[in-house]
Amino acid sequence: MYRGLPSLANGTSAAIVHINVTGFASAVAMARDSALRDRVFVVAESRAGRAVLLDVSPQALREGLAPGMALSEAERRVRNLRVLAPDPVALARAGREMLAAVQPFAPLVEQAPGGHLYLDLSGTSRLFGPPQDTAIRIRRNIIERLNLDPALAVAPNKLTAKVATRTLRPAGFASIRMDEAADFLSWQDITLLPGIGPTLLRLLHTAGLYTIGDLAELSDREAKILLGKNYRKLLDSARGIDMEPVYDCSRTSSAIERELRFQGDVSEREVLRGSLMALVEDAGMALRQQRLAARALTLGLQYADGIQRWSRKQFYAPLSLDQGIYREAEGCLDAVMDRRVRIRIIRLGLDNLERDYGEQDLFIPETGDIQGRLQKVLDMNRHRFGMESLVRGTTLLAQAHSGPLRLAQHPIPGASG
Amino acid sequence: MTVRLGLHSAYSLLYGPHRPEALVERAASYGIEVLAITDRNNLYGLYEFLDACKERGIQPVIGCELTSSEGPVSVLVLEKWGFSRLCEILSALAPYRSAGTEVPLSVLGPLLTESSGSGFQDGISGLALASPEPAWLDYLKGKIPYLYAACGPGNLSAISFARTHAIPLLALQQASFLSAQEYPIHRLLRAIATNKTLGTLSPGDCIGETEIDHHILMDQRAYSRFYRSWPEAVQEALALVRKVHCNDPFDGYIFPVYETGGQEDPEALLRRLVIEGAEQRYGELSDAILDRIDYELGIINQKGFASYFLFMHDIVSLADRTCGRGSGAASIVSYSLGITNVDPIAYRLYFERFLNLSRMDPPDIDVDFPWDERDELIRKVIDRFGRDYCARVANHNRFRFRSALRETAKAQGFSEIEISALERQLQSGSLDLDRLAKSDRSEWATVVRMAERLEGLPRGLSMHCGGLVITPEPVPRYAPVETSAEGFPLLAWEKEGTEAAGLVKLDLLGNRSLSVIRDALKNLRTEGIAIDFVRIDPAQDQATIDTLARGDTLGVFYIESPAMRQLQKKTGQGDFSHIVIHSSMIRPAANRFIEEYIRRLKGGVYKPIHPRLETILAETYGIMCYQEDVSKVAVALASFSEADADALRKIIAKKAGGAKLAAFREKFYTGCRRNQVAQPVIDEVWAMMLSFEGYSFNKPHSASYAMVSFQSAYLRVHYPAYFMAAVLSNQGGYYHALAYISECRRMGLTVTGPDINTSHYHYYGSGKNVVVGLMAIHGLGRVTADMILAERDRRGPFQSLSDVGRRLRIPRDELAALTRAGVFDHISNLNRHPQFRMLLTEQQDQQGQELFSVAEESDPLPYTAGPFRMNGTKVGMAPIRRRHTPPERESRIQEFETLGFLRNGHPLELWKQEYASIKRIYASELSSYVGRRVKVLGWPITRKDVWTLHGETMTFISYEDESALYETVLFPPVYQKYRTILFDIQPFLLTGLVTQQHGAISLELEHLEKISSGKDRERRLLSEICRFSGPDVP
Repeated sequence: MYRGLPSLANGTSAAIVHINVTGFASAVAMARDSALRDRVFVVAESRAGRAVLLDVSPQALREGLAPGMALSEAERRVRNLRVLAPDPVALARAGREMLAAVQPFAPLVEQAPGGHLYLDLSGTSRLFGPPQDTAIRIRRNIIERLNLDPALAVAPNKLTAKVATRTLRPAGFASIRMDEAADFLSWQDITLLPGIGPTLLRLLHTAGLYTIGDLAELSDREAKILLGKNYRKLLDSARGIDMEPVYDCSRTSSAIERELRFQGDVSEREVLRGSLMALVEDAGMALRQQRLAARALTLGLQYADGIQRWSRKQFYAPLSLDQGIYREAEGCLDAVMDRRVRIRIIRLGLDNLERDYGEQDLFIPETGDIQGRLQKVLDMNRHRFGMESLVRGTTLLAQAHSGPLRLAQHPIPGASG
Repeated sequence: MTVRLGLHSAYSLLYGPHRPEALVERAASYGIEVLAITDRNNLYGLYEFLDACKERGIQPVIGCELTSSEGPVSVLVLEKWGFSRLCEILSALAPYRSAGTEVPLSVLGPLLTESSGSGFQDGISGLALASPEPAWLDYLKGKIPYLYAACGPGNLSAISFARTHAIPLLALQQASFLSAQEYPIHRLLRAIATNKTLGTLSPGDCIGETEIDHHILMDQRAYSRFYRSWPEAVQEALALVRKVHCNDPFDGYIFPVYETGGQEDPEALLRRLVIEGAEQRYGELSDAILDRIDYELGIINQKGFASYFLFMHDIVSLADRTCGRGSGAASIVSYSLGITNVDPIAYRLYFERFLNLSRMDPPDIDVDFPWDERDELIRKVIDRFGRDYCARVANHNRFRFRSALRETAKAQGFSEIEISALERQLQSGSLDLDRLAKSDRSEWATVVRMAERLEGLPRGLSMHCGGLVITPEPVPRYAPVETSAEGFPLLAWEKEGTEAAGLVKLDLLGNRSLSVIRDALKNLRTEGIAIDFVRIDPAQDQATIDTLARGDTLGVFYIESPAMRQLQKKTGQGDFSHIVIHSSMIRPAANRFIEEYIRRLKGGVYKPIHPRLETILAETYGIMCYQEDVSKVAVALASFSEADADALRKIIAKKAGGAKLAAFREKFYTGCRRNQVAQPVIDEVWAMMLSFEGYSFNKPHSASYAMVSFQSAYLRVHYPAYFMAAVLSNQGGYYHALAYISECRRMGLTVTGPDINTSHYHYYGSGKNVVVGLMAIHGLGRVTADMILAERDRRGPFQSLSDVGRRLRIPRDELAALTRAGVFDHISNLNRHPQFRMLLTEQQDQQGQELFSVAEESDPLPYTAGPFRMNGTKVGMAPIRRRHTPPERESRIQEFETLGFLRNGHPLELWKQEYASIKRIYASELSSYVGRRVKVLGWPITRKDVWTLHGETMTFISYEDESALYETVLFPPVYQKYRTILFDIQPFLLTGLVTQQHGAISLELEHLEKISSGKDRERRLLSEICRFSGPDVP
């Protein structure tokens, strides 16, 4: 019954590695700040209504706190509880570093949110030795580079590898061979099977199904009666059938991305408009220098409590001039500013890039269009004397409120290409 | 004469930063003699405005500003009929306001110019209108008798139009501020109103920074200087004020005259009904009773309240069971009419506390109805008297410090986490504002200071839970009416404003225990047992008195809390008069007097606080117990007048505090000193008086509650199964279901079900059995439960799982819940896992086939265990894999998860393997171990945290084991040590010292230890049911 990815031509079975950093958010926080190591702290994002713990430190776990618990409940239990806001930037950075730590060994890497990596090591034996040895090297690499100790498992498919790391949490290594995979799965607690939430779990327990094997042994008809019309995927999972390949996450499309982190959190509309203008001008300059035009933009705000809001706009015709881009971006800004919380970072991405055929050489002003001509003059000046040589009034107003605006080029997490 | 028109107070919601008193006070200091506060689109603040003017000797002009898409129109009331018209206009505009849409001229215009057609004197002639907008002036000119062009700072656009069209100018300043420093508060309020931050406020959202001066109330010099170019505007204002004949539209009570059908007048009808009712209550009427009736009726008729009592009588008749309470319970008229249930003669309740000729306020009888009938009853009352003639009383929602702080911080763009952190620091007192202001977190100091400015400002309207007014003419002729979120007509005013307007308020409230009594009696009737509490006086029943004296009161109304049960045990008194005292004595601020009360009750010697109070407080052992004691003591010690004494009582009870209380304190101290009362005595008495703050009862109220306590206790004593079933059915008592189920077992009752063939939706009693209702099953919806019961009623009991599968279509999740609860246990000898799988298969097999064919019905399948059918073929059941936990134990864990208790036994039994080897005593034996250290098992039932004088937390927790419910105390060091595990609902091994005080046993805890399963999976299963839910903290 058990099926993994197809065997390779040379007869060796597929070797999938799942790497899971348990409590990713708290682990990253501790890796960045060693003072947190023995502290009771939680990571929680506050929303308008009920704040929920997203992650807890190992010490907090011992105090009876757990992810999913209401923040108010946690605060009742632990006096002066330290609450960290989720830091998506730090998580993204840690994610990138994890990726960098594994990429030398794995031709195919899939990254999933929350500190998960899937590696396909099939066919790498001749290059790096047995996948188990490679996996151990990868683990060491992650520990050394990131100061994080993950759970790591090698198995014939993603599902088995994932169940295996769940049995190992918080850290450790396991290797499941093709011939032992079915038996391994069958004895595991059914809660370890991906896709089982509290309601479904109650149903399974009522029917007396406690292990993955209990579920696997149901007939198709029994499973359908019990689980409803979506029974197939769960039943297949319980039987270890998982043909899902490791998706390559290195394929990204080109985009021009800028972000601006304010010196102090801001909420004034003028500051945001001025900052947006600065971002548009900087990204626009890069766009035009590459003789490109954008068909879409993504605008992101990161609020002081870590919450991010995104707005995306696609254009009917490609845009390359600041004024047009700004007009669209401002619309996005109005759409995403829907919370009464200060803003820490504003991000702009221009994508769906294409050759700007409408434009001539950047330094030859040759168009009858006033906006285009003005843009060229601005660009020429800035090209020669720097971006600060000409600053718009809206940006100056923003600077008056919040000090100099320092832009950075960062990939935008969550922004699709 | 100096006049100011057009001010905006904080009742211009989320706009003005000052309550009316502050504006009036400043106006008085400027020497202003006539003042009009014209709040935007409402008259919410009218009562406060009129009250403040009365206090400051200022002549008020009533009015409001109506905003529209064409700009504002100010409406000023000249005559009483004009006030009525304004109320009608505001009522008509309410739907626009609640929808948040601007009113167009095409809607507002006709309302302002056309008569209401109500038959009243033409309302428009009683109003003066003023607008700074030429468009409005153009529309209104020639259509109304008094039209003015408003002219004031920032509002000069109408002048040329007015001069062209010969419309008089009127000096009117839309002033909201007293100084420019208040502008940030205005912006803050606007940010809250528009759900924006201060940074994202648009120019149109608030007054512009350059226009602040236009909105600051001008003193006389500034006023004269501003209007020197338009002196005629000031003259017109003076002339207009002289036309005002209605400075207070409220004179006398507003209540309809009862329709008697022309046979007799209301007074005669009332007397007839009272005599008839009294005969039912007392039998033959003695002279004393008749004298009391005549005395009360004399006062009632003299004050014109006969109709009020007749209406109350009608309303009470709409329900089976009521509890009239409050001071009205001191009236024999109320008692005879069935409005109240306590005999005021037998229990010495004084009518004058309720009504007397010198008191100006209308009668106030609160009536409780069964909680689940209350809303329907209010609908019935509204239907009976007409929707146009009834309205619910409002609550004015005000910023409290916490909400003010949160909103201010949000408007500044702070996140929830930051706000919560600040709140914690403020609560713990670790935040020094001055230090904060100098630190790099100075913004927080600003937030706190601004939040302090918001505290107390109104922010919106909601509905009072039970207040209702009935009027002789449609309500909008007396007061503006809106529609509440629940769809009821809603007055603009809260309790005080409603009373001040003369609208007589009826309070119809919900009470869970009345439903408990109703359900128990109904249950008993089905078994042929009829109890009539008009004929049986439970207060005379010795068994009931004895039970109350022992504190066996779980489920009994108002006296079931641990504190109350302990008080009962300590005093050993269960008679009516002591229950009345105890119901009043247990209140948050009076804890410190309780020990002294018990000492005195047990014969401890005491000296009255002062000889003058000896008689007054004799009945309560020299301790002030009832609200009215405050008034009595103020009269006796400080020579207060009756009216002042009553005002003092009200201020303390309402926790109004502030300047008024300070003034009364001064008056009380002065009065006492004049009467040669010693300083320590004055201090002690004043402290006792303050213990009535917030939550306290008067004696008639306490007696009314005690009667409900006695009725429920009577049922508990004589019909325990019926009573406990009703308690469980009505939920929401002081404890959760498990505590009541355990109590049932301790009372010797058998708890059965839930069962597919015997359960109803609610719990019910039968002999010594309490049958659990389907309502106990978490995850089972009412629709499915009703479907099951309807099918059982139609075709009889279910014979087997196959029978269930054939006759019912139950959704999968609900079927699982029913199985887990053991509902099918009596029709199957399988354990529950195969039960569920079989039921699922049976239901599936029936799909697509016609259900319940006659042949099948007449041939029900006998149930056989073992293989189950699939597509008509018997197939073997898929084997269930070997597990560590026996299925029986897993089933019980699931059962507990689904019901919140076990069908048989105590949930502690789920951990039996773990505690089997522990040496411990049973809680029922605690009294034999007084003064000794013991180990005992405990399942937490309820918890109450308290704070010591030093601000440390300690807690009282009620635990139970298989044998008894018992009380424990955790002093601050123990609380600190174990606080993280106190929140878990799971078994504990408790170690502590057994103490006894006045016969009540308590355990002083020293050590707590969780009992947990050694096996991983079971620990996980059990922790799933225990996680995240701590014992209730009332």
